This record gives sequence, C-alpha cells and structure tokens, in this order.
Amino acid sequence: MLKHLGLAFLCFLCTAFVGGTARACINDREINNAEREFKSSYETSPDYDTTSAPGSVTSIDARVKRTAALGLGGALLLGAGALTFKRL
Amino acid sequence: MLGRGARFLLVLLAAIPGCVAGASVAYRFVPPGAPDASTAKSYPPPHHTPRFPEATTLRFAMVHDVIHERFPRHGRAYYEERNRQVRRDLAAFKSPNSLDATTAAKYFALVDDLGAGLDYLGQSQEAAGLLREKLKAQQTLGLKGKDLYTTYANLGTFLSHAYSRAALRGDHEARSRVAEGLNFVRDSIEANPQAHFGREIWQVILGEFLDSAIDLPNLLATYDFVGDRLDAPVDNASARSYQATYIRQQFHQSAGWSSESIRSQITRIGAEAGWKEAVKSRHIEPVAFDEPALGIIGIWRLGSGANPHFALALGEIMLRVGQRYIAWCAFERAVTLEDRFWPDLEARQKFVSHCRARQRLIEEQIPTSDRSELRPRFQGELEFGKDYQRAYQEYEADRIAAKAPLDDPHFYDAFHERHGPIASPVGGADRILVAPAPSYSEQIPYSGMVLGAGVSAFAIAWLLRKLAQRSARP
Repeated sequence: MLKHLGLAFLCFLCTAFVGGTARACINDREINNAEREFKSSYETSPDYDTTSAPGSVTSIDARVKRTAALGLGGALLLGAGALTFKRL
Repeated sequence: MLGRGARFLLVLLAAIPGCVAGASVAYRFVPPGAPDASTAKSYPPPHHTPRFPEATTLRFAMVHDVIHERFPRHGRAYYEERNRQVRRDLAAFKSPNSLDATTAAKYFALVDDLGAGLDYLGQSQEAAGLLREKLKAQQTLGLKGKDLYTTYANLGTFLSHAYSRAALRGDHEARSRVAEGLNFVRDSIEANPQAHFGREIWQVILGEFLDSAIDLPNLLATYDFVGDRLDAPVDNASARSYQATYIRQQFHQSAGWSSESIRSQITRIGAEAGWKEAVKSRHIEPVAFDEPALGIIGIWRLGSGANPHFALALGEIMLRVGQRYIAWCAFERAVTLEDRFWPDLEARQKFVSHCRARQRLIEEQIPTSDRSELRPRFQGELEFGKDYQRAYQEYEADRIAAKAPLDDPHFYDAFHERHGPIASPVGGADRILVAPAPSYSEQIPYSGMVLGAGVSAFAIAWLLRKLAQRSARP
C-alpha cells in the first residue's frame, strides 16, 4: 500500500512539476520517422582544417627566433675563440 | 699573465653557466618544437560509437539545439486532423476480436496514433482507455515481450497524465492509477531496453530521484537527476569527453578495438559521491555521458519538451566534458524554467543561485570578449528556435485547412524550402585532432643554449683579452 502511494506520488511529481506533462514514452506513427530525421540532421562531418588547429602549428616566428639564436650564438662563440687565440 | 691555453679554458668554463642560463631563457621566449600540423589527423570521439548497432549517437550540436528549441514540433491542428483520419480508419475494422495476424499490426498502430493524439489534446483518460483495450486484444492474440512495448509505454504515460491532478487532490483511486502507469513504463523498458535513445530509462530515473527528494528535499540542491553533485567544484578546465588513453590508441592506430572498448573511453558522469546511499534509483554507477544526454534530448524533442531538471542535467554534463559554452546556455535555459523546478520557493531560489554560480565559473574561464556576447546570443538563438516552431505549426494549420493530406510525403516541402534546415551544423567539438608530440631531442632548447654559451664565452674572452693587453703594456 505504502509502495503504491509512494509510486503514485512520484508519478504525480513527474507530471505536475516536471514540465507539466511527460510525453516521454509515447510511441505513434511519427516516432520512427522523427528519429530518422533527427539522426540524419546531424550526420554531416565537421569541416576540420588540420592546418589551422590551435596549438598544432609550429609558428614561423618561433623558427626564425631559433635560427637567429643559433646563428648569433655560433657567431659569438667563434668571436670568443678569435679573441682568445688572436695575438695581443 | 695568462697564456692562450689558460684563457681558452676559462672561456670554456664560462660557457657552461651561459648555456644553462640560455636554456632557461629559451623556454620562456623561444618555444621548443611544437607538434607538426602536417602529420595531424582527425578522429571521431568515442561517443560516436553506438551502444547498439544502428543506434543514434550523440553530437554536441544536438545538445545545443534542444536547449534553444531548434527543432520542429507539431501543433494542435495537426493532431486534431490526424485523430479525425485515424477514427475513420479504425471504423473500417469490425472489432478487435476479429483481428488476425495480418490486420492486427495495422489496427494496433492506429490505436497508438489515436491515443497519442488524444493525449496531446488533453484527453488522456480516453487515450488510456483505448490502450487498455489494445492490451487486452494483444494478450488475447498471445502477443508478448517486444510486441507489447508501445502499449506499455503509451498506457503508462497516458495513465500518469489522466490521473495526476486527481492524485494531487488526494484521490486514492487516482493515486493507484498513476502508480500503475509507472509500472507499465518499467514494463516497456523490460520489453525493449534499446528503444528510442533510452528515453524511458531516464524518465524512470527522474521519477526515482524526485521520489527520494520528497523525503529529502536537500537532494535537489545536492544532485541533478543523474547524480552529478551540484555542491562540488568541477575541474572543467581540463575536462574532455574522452579519456587520454583513447588519444594514444587512436594515434598509434591500434586496430581491433571493439565497440565496448571504444565506449569505455567515454568520460563517465553521474552517480557521484553519496548518490547510491541517498537516492533509491536503478542508476547506481557513473555512465558514459552520452547516455543520459541522448535520453534527455529524446524526451525533450520527441516527448514532453523543456524541463528545468533536464536543462540542469545537460548543463552539469556539458561542464564535465569541457563544453563550456553549451553548459552556460543550458544553465541559462534552466533559469528560464525555474518555476517548474519544485513547488517550494526556497528550493527554486537555490536552483537559480546554483545555475548562476556555474555560469560565473564558466565566464571566468572564457575570453573576456566572449562574456558579453553569451546572453544576447542565447536569447537570439532561443527566439530563433521558437519562431521556427511557431511558423511550423502555422504552416501545418494552413495546409490542413487547404485539405492537404497529412500522409503526403511532400507536405512540408514548401516549408523546408522557405526556412531551410533548423539543425545546427556539427562542429569541431565532435572531432579530435591528434598530432605527434615533439621528440625529446626536439624539446631541448639548443638555440637558447648556444646563444647563452656564446654570450658568456664572448664576454669572458673579451674581458680576458683586455686584461692580457693591459698586463702586456710596459
């Protein structure tokens, strides 16, 4: 008896307070078509340009900086060597 | 005076700290090699793998659209006309007792249509009576199991609709009918557990949650109906819809993964700490996030429509899988539905406060320029969706008035030509881009090390030369 009352009360809550009506479990002639159309509306694949993905591109700026640093550092090392071994 | 050999050694020693300093500076200003875009590949996330063959799989655009009412909905005129036609077709059958196997399926389908149409128009008692007769006729014919699925689901729903108001007034008989309805819904799940995105399962779980909330109203401020904790912080900065292991497996092209293995990589949500003890529910373990999401979408679109508990759950789910913008909109939509959350004002106020707090959390994590756009964009989208539904229903009414047959496959052609598709396009959130991480050697900042070594070596060499020149002067 208590179980029935409890279940009845919860069903009341389902319908009275949760969206007013709960047509969640209704099946009619529309349901299969509606689901097919729903599914097909979202079947397109996203256009995803891999070259523009964030964080996935080695920027030209970074490559230039690295090359410049290597070049300058190498030149400074050569210069240090020249300063060391050149006659006073 | 130091000889050249000694000066060379000192210069070399000076280069070492320079190298270390250069490496530290390089990490700060000159980033090591980043993943190479030319080797990046795009993969579907694991939630694109269906639970059952041919089952619908989730796209984030579906969640966005349901929140903003971007889907068609039949209007009153449609169901009134359909009921008229179905009654005419049913009248052609002599009696349910004279049905045979070939005529039964058609007859029973018509009864479902009429029941659904009556229920939509507020005549749920009559709808329930029809379905009871259908059930008797089906049982007389010896039908069982999945053949009874639609009967159980429809009858359960119609009973709830028909008797809930009387149950509120304390009518004992009505309360029994409503309880009976829920049991029929449970029977429908048993008869066809794979039906319709699992809508019935999540409808029952919602009912179980609300039942527990009667005795423990604090549950409403602690969980959403799928068991996400509302009082715990969510680390949505690193949230994703998939596990990290999925990325590694996809990139290294591990073949032979079963659907189950792939789906095991989906982020799981719900049934969080304390849920099992607090709520009497069949839902006791976290589940792949797409399962309740699809259930909610199915109920919202194809059944009862907008619901604050559903909007809240969608917000919490999307937050936990890193879809912050969708989550923000879900919380915004939930607030617009707050009057239907719970009868108690304090509970509704807590609900709104929680939604606003989640929105503030999201706003702190998105670019400043985006924050001011969130609400206007949400309102514009929702208005767009509702306008579409109004236009759809007006179109139906006009076509019906012009005697256009409902079963004409081209009934809506002119409408779709004028309005175009309402579904949002599937976006980048439903693809995962994977590129190889730089190798260890690529991550060493050689350039910074060489520059640092060069600067300190040159400086020391210059200094030592100056000192040597001074010493050499007479």
